[in-house]
Amino acid sequence: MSYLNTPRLTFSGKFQADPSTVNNDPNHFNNATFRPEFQDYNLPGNPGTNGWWNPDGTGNFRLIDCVVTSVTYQDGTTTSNPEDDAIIGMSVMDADGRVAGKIVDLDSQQQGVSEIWGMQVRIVDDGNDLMTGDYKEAAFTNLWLNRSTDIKGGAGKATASYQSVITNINWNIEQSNSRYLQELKDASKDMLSIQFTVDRYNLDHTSAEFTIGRLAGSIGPSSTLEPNHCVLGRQMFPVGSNCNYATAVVDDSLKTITMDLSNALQFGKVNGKVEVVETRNLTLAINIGTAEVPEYDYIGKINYRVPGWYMQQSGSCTFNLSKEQLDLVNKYPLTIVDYQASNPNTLTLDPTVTQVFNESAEYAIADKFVFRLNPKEQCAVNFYATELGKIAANKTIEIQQAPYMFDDPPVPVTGVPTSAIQNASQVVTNEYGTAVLEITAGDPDNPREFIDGQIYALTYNLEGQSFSGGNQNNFISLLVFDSVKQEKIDCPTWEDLQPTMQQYANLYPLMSKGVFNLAKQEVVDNNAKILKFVFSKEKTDPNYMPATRDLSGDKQKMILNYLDGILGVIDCETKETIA
Amino acid sequence: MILLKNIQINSIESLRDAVQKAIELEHATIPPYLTANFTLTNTGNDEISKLIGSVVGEEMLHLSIACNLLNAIGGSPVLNKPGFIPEYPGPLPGGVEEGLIVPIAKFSKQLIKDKFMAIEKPEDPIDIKLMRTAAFEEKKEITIGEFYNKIIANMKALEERAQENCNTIFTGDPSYQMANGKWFPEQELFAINDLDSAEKAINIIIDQGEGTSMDPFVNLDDLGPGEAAPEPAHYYRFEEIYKGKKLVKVKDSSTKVGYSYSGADIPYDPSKVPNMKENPKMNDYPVDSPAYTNSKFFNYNYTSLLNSLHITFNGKPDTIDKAMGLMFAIRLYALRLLTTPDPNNPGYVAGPSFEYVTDEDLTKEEKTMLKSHKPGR
Repeated sequence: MSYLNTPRLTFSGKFQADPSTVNNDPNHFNNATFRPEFQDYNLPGNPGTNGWWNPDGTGNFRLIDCVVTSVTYQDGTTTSNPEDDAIIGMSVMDADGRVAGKIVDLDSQQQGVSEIWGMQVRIVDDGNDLMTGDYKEAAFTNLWLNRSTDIKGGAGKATASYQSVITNINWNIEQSNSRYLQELKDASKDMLSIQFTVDRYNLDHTSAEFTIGRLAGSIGPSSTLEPNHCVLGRQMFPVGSNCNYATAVVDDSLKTITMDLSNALQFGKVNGKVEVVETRNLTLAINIGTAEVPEYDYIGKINYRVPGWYMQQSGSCTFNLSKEQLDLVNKYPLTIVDYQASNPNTLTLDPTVTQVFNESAEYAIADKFVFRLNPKEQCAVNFYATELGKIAANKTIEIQQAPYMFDDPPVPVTGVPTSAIQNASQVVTNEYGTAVLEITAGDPDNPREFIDGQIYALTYNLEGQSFSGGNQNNFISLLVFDSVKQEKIDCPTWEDLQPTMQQYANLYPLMSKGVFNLAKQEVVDNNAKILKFVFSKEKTDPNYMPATRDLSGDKQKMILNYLDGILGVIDCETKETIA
Repeated sequence: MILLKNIQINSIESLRDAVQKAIELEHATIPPYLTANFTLTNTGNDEISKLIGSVVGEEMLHLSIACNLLNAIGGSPVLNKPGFIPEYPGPLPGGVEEGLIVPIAKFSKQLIKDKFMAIEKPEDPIDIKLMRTAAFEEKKEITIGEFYNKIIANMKALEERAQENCNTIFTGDPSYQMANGKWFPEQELFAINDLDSAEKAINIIIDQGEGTSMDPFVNLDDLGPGEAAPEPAHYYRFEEIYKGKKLVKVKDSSTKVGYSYSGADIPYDPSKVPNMKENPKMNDYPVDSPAYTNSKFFNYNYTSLLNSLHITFNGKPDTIDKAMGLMFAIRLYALRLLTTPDPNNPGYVAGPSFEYVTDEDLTKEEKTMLKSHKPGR
């Protein structure tokens, strides 16, 4: 079950992503060559200079002005009218009793999998929290740089999708009288699936909407038997131009197919309004022929031309299937074609139609695909294999190291030494369609000199397929940290910490100018208590420091031991705890 | 000297009301003090900033003490209602209407003298003995110190009466006490569970705020272990800033002990203090201005801070950790506002307004629009 299953809701509004961008340039990590102007905004007309577009970023990620726009009940009926169900118009918000979640790049040299950490999600009605839960950290995927045709270049033109689960849920719906919320709780009390697509991001620091963009999402039931960050469903790959990936789920009992096109179509301005600018007559069909000689059973037109469809339905659409179609859809791949109106009213075989999306019938995906590892640590990648959306047992997935996925020099070299990650070259799915790949980290031994650790990419594919034939967005990104000599961890001096602290002071000016200048020993010493508090938090805690989550385990221990020394908690020479 | 409206305490309910008022009063000084301190960031006025910061820290302590006290006597502190934050500019909660008007303003020596010192001024500065036990029932107006002494006196009376009936007014759940030694030393913030601990706690508030009747310096017993002794009470700390000199103990020719602002210099350089327009309001900024956006973010974080404190003092004391994070968050947004031009006042920058924003970000118009939306599939 996922956000595409019933009982599901759609919500839309805005988001804020407020990362500090001084660290967008890997060379800014080099303390020896760092210059104060790297903390300034871009030079006019010259993006990617100085501190890039948001040097004073807080790191926050927030849900803003998001409201529930529609619900689909367990039985497939739907409403977007608040008179039918009080849930319509309720707010979907992040925390109001702790700091905001954080937007976090894995690494300066892998900025394509930005994660949200430590965010709370709430459904709120007139100041009352009806549902609160923790958003499990997740990276975006399906980054599409050419989404909004009316915006010139850069992140503003792009889109990406986040999918995750909400856990640690508190329900407080007794007073709400919402049939939908009752159904959602009954269906999936402990965990919910949530997806949202973000786009039209504002990078102009003189604008009121700076760091804010558009968000459209869905929430639905979840299950521990299914992945957290992807859908076991029908994977639609773009074959035509100007479109991006889509996903669909077939509900056998409701005889429906629900498709998420939130990240699939282009937008632009139409009469001053932001609308889908797709001109093709997109029609969902089942290809009951072959890839070479297709034959279509048409399901229906995709209704993206209805004004406001995207924000009202969060880019999703549901089709009813006849009994026959349900049988066919479980046997044959889906396709989305450009159905020509020149054949009026005849939804019959038409060899002239152009395919715009095709289903990747046999599919493998890593659920979580972003990892941080200290030397000697292990992580487990959970793979899922599907065939026409159903789990597929006994499928071999091949895995390769792929250093070419990241930037080339002059930035520091990536992906070496290859020996610092060890993993099997293939895994086979079990009866539940899953396979686990264990990755063990070694010590990269500081190949990037002024940036801690090294980044690695692992690509994968089903046996008989190629990585380039799959969805290349979902390759595995790893950051493996360097180790620190044990004696420095045990008994650190300020000189041992200073380069790391200097780097944070350089890269996060809002913190170093406004709160703590970590580069200065007296500041660190005088604030040892609060610094120990934030440096010892779990990574999932929104107060965790550094917000960038790029501090190695060894350096974290070294900093904490130093702070304990200042606070008089331990004597590192004798290793004794001072009472 | 700030004067509060005299209050009647004759029942446990009215005692709880008075302590709730104390919580509101302790909170109310924090936004003006914090704002003045925000405007000193990176201006080279670190010494002054440290002094104001130390006062703010103690106001937070006093707020926590008052919350512990209210919990101890079976009340429930309220910190997250719109009316909890006073209007700035305006009188402090419980203050007499014709009394002191407190603004949200950038740091200036005039602000220190006219407002902050006035807030903290004891009834009789230094050498005139303050008679704490003086009868004040008939007075219309009382000082903050008198207000707290009145709480002590009436609390004693109520507890005595309760004990005569083998009862106590300290009926609160002990697990609600925030006394984990984490952010305030245990000598300063401890569990309140009887008359002794309650009186001791209130005396910390009075002493740190006003000083004892004979000594402008805080009683050594009321200092935390990390605090450098001796430390003057709030009024005298502000006066140090105003005079630009540390307060020191001196002996005059007749060997009588006295005090004088003749210690080390406390330098002030106004050149880098941002030119914040007084008493900013979120809704004064055009909604399409960065000032409005950042003001909203500030207020949202400030409201979140009050929410987290409310939870902290309503049964979940460990939530104070979340509040700590938010205290830093509001600082970051305040600093952002202080570099954002004030769209209505050329030459000025925007500033923090400390307003309560409701749980939902939508405007009334947006809500109405949405509710009138007809189903469309």
